[in-house]
Amino acid sequence: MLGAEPEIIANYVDRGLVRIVFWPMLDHGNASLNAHAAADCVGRQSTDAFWVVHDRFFANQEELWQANRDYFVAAAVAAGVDQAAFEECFDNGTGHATVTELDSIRRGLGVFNRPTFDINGQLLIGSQPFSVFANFIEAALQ
Amino acid sequence: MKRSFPLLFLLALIVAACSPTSELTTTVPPTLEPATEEAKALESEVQQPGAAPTEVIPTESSTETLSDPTDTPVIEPTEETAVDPTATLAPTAEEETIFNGPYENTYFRGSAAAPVTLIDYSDFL
Repeated sequence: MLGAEPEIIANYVDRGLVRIVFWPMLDHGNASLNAHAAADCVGRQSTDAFWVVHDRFFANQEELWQANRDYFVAAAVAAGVDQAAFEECFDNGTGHATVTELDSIRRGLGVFNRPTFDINGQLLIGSQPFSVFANFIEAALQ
Repeated sequence: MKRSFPLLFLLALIVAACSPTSELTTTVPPTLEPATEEAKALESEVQQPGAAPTEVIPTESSTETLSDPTDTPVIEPTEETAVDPTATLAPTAEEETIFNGPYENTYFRGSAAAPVTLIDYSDFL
């Protein structure tokens, strides 16, 4: 959703009308698992830092295929969180367990298409331009 | 008559002495001894207080009273144990609330009080 997200934030989130919840989908094995676990371990220290790495990972998807532990530690430190705390979370599997559970929940809900958006219960599947999101959001606000 | 009474009495004693019924008064009935031994045997079988319990060996007749293994009662499933395998396919009411629920362990941008929640199910890759 990165393409439409800045506009949604400017037009709806910043006005207090919409909140955007990020729910991980682990569709590419360990590459997905480690990236989402790293983001979760960053978020445990700072929600703002979570969104920093969230935007970074989406903007640099090709890097994630070969990303190793050092890559994620560097991303966490760049986002401003404590390195030792991040490493402990990442190494002991806390982040991995959390995102694995979330992924299991979304499978249980029957969400298999990537990406999928749920706007107050209305499902929107696939990447969409801002105008489509706006129509759904406006309908939900009625 | 008075003079013949001693003779008659003496004659009666002689007859009595020669009669076979006299043995009954002088011999012990043979049936009494076995009865006494049986009583002693029964007495020894009476369990004394504090004594170790006597092992009961089931007789053939007693084993006939045991239930047939094939007669094991079938346990009917109760309402709690009966599980519909298809029930897990549909989201429960509790799962459905996740769409507008607390979203534990997820991160969100914006106000928690916002009237619209947009859930983004995505993979970084």
